Amino acid sequence: MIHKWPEFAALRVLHGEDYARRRGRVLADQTAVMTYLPAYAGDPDWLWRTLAAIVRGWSEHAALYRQVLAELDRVNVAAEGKKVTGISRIWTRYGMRARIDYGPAILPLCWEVILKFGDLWPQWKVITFLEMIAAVPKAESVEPVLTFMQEVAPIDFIEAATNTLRDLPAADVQPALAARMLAVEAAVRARGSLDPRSAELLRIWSRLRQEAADGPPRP
Amino acid sequence: MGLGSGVQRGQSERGPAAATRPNSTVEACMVEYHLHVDADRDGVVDDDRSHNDRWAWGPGSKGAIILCNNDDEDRSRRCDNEDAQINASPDPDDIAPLVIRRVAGHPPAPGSWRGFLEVSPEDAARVRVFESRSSGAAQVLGAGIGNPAEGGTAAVQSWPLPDLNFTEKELGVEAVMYAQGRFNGEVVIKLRIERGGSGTHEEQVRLRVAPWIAFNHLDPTTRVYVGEAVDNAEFRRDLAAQVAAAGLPPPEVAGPPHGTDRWLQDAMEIGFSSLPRTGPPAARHLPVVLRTANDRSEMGWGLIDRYPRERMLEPGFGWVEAMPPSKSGGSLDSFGNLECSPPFTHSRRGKEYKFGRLVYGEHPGGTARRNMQRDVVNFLDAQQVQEPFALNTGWLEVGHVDEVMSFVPMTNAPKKFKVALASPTEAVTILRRLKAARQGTAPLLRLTPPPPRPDRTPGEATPQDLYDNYYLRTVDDVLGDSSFMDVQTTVQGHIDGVKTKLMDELDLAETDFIPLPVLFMQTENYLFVAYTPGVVNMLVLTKPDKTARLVIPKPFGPEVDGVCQFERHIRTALGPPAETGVDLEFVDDFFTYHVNLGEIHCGTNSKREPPIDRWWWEQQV
Repeated sequence: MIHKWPEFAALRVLHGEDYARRRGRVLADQTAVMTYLPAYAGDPDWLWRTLAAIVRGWSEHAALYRQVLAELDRVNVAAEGKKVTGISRIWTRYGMRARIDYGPAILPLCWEVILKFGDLWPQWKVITFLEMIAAVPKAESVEPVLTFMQEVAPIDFIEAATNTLRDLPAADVQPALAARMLAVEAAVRARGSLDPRSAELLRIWSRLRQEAADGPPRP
Repeated sequence: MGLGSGVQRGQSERGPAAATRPNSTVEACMVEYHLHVDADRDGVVDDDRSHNDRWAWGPGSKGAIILCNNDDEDRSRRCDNEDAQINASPDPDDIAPLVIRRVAGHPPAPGSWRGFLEVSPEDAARVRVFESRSSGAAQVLGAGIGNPAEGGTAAVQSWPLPDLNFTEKELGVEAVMYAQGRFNGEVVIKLRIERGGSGTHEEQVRLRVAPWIAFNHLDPTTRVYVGEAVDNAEFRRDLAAQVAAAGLPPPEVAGPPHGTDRWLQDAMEIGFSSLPRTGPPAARHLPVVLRTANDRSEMGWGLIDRYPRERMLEPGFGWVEAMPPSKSGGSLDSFGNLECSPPFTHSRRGKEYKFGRLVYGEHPGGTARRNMQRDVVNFLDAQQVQEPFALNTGWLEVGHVDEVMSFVPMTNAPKKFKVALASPTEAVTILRRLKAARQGTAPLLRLTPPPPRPDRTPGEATPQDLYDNYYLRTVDDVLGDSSFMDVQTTVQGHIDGVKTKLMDELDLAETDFIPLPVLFMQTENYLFVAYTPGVVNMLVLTKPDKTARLVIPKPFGPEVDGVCQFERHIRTALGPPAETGVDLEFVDDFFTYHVNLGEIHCGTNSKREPPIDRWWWEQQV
């Protein structure tokens, strides 16, 4: 990718609020969006494609995204915790809404949250977006979820995405998993030691590989 | 297969393993060593070795058993099978015997002989073999402790016997895990004798880990548990009165910090495992609590999931988890979503379920997080004895089986139990009958909300706020709300599906069900939850004579002349106590549990007495 749009290219490395501010500036320049975004959207690199989809998502569904984020900001976590469902009621709510109401339009926001805020926001809130990804299972979500696990999530939060991967299309998940595992194993070999994050990733991912080899759970 | 001996002088060797012996060099002496276990399951090590390498289910069948030794005899706050020794007495009783005997009359083996006990790499992680069956005995074979890379010890697959100068050597065996995943519950331990350059002999024993078995409502209750939340003192007092009326000790109250998460049913499922032993039959059982897979504190509830290990694990009370506490689960991983039927025989399938069948809810087409975790289902399946099956509860907001059904002991029922089933149709029928009798203004949900607690958190709804969500308060209100009535029809359709599945899987007839009135409402999640308190979501207190006292959520149904018509119907439907053996009382859980989408069953738990007239190894699976 030839970076003709530095403002956009910076999104690749920015994180958290810095990222959010830059994304706002990108969106403000609609001429650049119209001019450059199609090229990024067709890039062979999944991250450029995903960032382009996020920007396009905000261009087309900003009201929905703001509404969802505002609703989640208003969730009374303590009150939910008193209920028999705990905070899982919120996950169910947004999973159902994603499936029935939002559809794929919600996915770019979900990808943005897990990639750029997945280690910054409360875990229950991040899980809400993982659950929406699971409820609208698309191949395009595979790399963002794997990257969330590999690069973003705190180590004790990596496994929260395990069931999300189970819900995504296995035909897309398995090759991506295999490739990521090879890369992690190669890095471990090069380092000569197994760090805790790699150990956790390999534990979870090899388990998912094994499940795929074993076939679907019994009916 | 397998025979560990060194025989010879031209004699033929007994047993099938002779074919495996590499050569038949004649020795100057005759020495045989063999493994002996309790394959006939009478608590005594057998002389007969003919079933050592086979394991069969069913009455009169053979095959040795080991226990997942997960109680805490020495009060170390960890399970006995998490360390590398036999713990304080009576821990030796939880250890199965494994005996190596030299055949009577044979001299000790020549000094050049070596003996080894061995397990496969897979089985090494599943068992511990100890040097004896006494307290303090050290582990010699099997699972490691912790992570070897972090200072732990590695598993041991082969243990060289110090010598062969014994006539009998008793070792002990415990399991460190139940059947699960690729582990079907069977482990194999080999005896290998190297005969000083004259060949090698092997023989092996096959042992099965005793499965974890859930209690069912026909098992007598021995202990009730309830959480101490900030607002449930009155409920706990009422519950204690009912528990006392059933002749039971006061409920065990899970105090802070655990009990502030009030959903004790969801934190754990209590069951047991059994090992053949001599002595009283009851001594063969080890009660074991299975904790939920949910990491509840990380998921907004609280710490009640830690209660089983931190408060219940003790001498004679084990603890197990099907998987490490997880953030990848959801509501259906709560154990209000796991029940067990009483024992029955499925006549059409010709199969007896001596310990009943496990029932859990699933959300077909729902995400993995909206279903019970794969590892948990796998764990339950792998125990084999209680053959789990799933009901569709995905249409429920909470998604738990206890929202729609409960197994009720009933002494005069053909199967000795019936299924109480939530029934919007029954509720609507009662309301329509009242309207036809010009009682349309009869009030329901007539309650007085308690005052707000002064210590409530900012933004926390007051009881009045919560009560206002239940705005249909007369018979006419309910019957006149067409969308609410549509909900009743929809929900009844789902419950009819549940009933059909129960009839099929538990071999039940129409008359085995007792429909009890519950009205449902739709939530903003497009799902459903009880509008009037879910009366089937009850605590069943079973007495040793199999009669029962039901602690039922007070339904606050339509009142005529001060009498709740739902309560009246429920008493009639359950029949006269003198005939059914079922007594009952209604307890108000409206502002403590119902408004929080749960009921009495969700907020309590019970320990029960395992049966002593049946044994899991006698069941055909």
